[in-house]
Amino acid sequence: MLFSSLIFIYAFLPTVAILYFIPWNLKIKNFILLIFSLIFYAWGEPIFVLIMIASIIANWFFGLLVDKYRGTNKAKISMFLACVFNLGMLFIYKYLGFTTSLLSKIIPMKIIRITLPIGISFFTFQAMSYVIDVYRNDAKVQKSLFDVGLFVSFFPQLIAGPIVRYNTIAEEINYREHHIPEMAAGFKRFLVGLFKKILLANSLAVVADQAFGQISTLSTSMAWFGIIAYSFQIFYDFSGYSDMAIGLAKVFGFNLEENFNYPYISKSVSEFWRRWHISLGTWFKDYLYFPLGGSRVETKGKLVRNLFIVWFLTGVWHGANTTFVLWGLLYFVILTFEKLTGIPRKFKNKFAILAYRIFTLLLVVLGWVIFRANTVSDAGLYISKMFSFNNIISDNFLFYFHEYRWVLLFAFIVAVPVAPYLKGKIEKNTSLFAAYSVVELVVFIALFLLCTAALVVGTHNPFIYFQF
Amino acid sequence: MNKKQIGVKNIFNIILFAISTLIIFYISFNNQLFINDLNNLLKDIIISRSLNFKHNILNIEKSYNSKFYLKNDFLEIYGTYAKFSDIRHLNERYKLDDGMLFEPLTSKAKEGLIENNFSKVLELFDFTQENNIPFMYIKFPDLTSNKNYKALPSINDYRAYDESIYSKILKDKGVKYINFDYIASDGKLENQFFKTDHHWLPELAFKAFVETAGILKNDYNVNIDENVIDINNYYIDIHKNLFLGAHGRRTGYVYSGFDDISLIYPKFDTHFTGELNGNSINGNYYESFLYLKHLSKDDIYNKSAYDVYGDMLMSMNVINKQAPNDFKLMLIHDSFTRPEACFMANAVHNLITIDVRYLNTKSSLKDLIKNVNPDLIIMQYNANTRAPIMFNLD
Repeated sequence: MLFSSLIFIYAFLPTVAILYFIPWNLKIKNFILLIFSLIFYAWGEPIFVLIMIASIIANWFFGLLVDKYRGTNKAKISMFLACVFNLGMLFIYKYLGFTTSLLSKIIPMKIIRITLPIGISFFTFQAMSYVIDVYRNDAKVQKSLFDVGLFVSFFPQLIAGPIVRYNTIAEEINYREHHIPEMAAGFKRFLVGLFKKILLANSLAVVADQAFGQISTLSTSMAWFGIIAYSFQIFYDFSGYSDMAIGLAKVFGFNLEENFNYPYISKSVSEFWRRWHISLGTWFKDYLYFPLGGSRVETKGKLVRNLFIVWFLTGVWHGANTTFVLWGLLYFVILTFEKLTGIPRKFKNKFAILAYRIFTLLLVVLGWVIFRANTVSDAGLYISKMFSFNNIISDNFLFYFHEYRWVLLFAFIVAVPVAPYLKGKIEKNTSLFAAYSVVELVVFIALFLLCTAALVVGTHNPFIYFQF
Repeated sequence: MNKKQIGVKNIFNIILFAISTLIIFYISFNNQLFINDLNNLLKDIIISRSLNFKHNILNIEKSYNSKFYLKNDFLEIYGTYAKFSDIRHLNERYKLDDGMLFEPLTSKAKEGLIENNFSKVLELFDFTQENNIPFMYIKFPDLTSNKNYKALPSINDYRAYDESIYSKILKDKGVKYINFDYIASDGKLENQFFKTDHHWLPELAFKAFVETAGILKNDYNVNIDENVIDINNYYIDIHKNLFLGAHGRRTGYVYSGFDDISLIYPKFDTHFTGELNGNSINGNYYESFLYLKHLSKDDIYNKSAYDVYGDMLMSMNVINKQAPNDFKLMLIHDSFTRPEACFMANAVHNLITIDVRYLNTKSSLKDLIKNVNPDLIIMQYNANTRAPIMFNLD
């Protein structure tokens, strides 16, 4: 089920809310959340809920084994088996088709095609983190199968993250309180995500789809406009989902970690990855990069090896396609460069800092070309169109620019921290702050109605990160 | 932020939360149309014992979206936003420079679809030949037929491409094929087509009627009364800002505005008998063919004033007692023909029409043709040549 759907906002959510807030007992509340999370997941493709249930049961069982044999080799073996199970499941559903298609080019074999269960990368990583946290003693084992089920399947963040690590919400599963101001703040955050998704991401998706749908005839202007639109689309699509997830979780008394922090203002690529999809970066850092030795290794060769493994897997995590591998490797090269040279931290000159900031942004945007294109050759062709300057301004560009100019302007404004800056200024003046609060209230209600209207009209709506 | 400001912020957050919750619950509890539909859906699922959960869930969500409470009000909200943002693309409709709404065929038809659909037309043609009934196919004009139609950049329309495929299929087989694009090749689009609907204006339909009458006269020696084909012998009542067409219902009237419709009816005496849509008729043109109930503005999202001609015209078999000929003409058609067929009834002795989309399973087009045994069959079925099954001849 999509957050940005009429049936979610006007049927599913009120039903869950009513049933959730009637009982006082937290265990009953958790059970209701679990049941509705399973319904939420099953809504699109009911059969896949069985895979998720299998994942819940297996990881709950591995967690118990790890705890039972703590301090012995059996605990290590149990943790290892849990990783094999989770990664094996991920491999079968996500990468087997890709692997067999690659192998079939070398040896004659049948290409296996399996439908990808939605959000499998997210819930698998989350479930794995539970067993690993228990093994490392970072969290207590959860004896209740239902509670493990709730952790893995909790509907606000189930399908597209943020990837919640078990120790983040372990306490809150059994001990949490519900306060109206917190719930109200959570719902407001949900609305922010809804606005980002429906009014910005969905609109800009039309431009991006148009550009990537006709690469061979693209003008330079349309190629740039298309990828700028996509850069904003993927940001608002994904950060919008995260906002909705964090907000909804807050309504139900959970505090999830932030997933984005104005990534497009980054001064370097390293900083970009500290601001973009923070939960995935943290996951790889904690469960892969640091165990490999991280940056504190004896040789530069080992550092490069560690970076390579992390970024290769980051690319692969996003999908079974050479474009994602290439995209991951692009970041490996740049991040290795930044780590080894100390650039841009070394820069003292303002111009050099600004130049590197622009370079970062350009690189991220070019990265999105590879990420969005269907094939590596399509990505190459697209980039060549961006720099061909043969057919600079086209009617096509003028039409789409006119059509989406306001959306683009708002997308730009929201992507930089203008609002927090202005809010900071307003907060200094008490009477202005009250007026601002009234205006904000009216704007939020108007935008909420407009989002509903957009859903009624049925604008472009899929979430990009669902495929991962 | 000081304590007082935090308090103010919390209060406003709570007000927002309360208002949003009220909106959500108000809509949720008033979704009666969906509840009714859901009951029917569930009954169907139980009766069919369908275990295809994915399919059933999709149907439920589809029903929820289509029966959403205050759906049309929300449509108008979005239309207002689109209008003030000067957006030209809304709900799969494009607003052309002159304000006309247009739904382009933006991609090529599925391979073999048009060929398959027109093989049915050829089959029908063969049947008419076996029964010695002349057969003709007329293609009606659309917005793109006019040289003043200006496509929006990058918005391809494959109507002409489709036409090149099926006209070739028909011509190769020896079907008499006439393309009426030329009657709409010039002039303002707004004088030929509705602004909010895909249909032509009755004025252009009249032009098509005159052209068809000319063909009957010249190619089939039908004696046509000259008064009948002269627009000056007709009253034209214009009903201003009356209705939303099929496109307008997708964008809302704030975005598209309303359309006018002209009632064109003869100044000369007429008398018709027979039946229309299964109901018997006996009266003059105005009484027989114009259904004024469609001119009300009370249900703009569901009613179309275009239906005033022939009351949606599913079928008719009428005798024109004033006609100076005994010609029996059969039209196989879609909705474009509605006003044109009404005009045509003035020109021939016996007019039989059938909109094949409304043929029920018990009827057979071939049986109907055999029973009627017309002097000429004109097929003018243009609107949806890409339907999965254009029509059933079995």
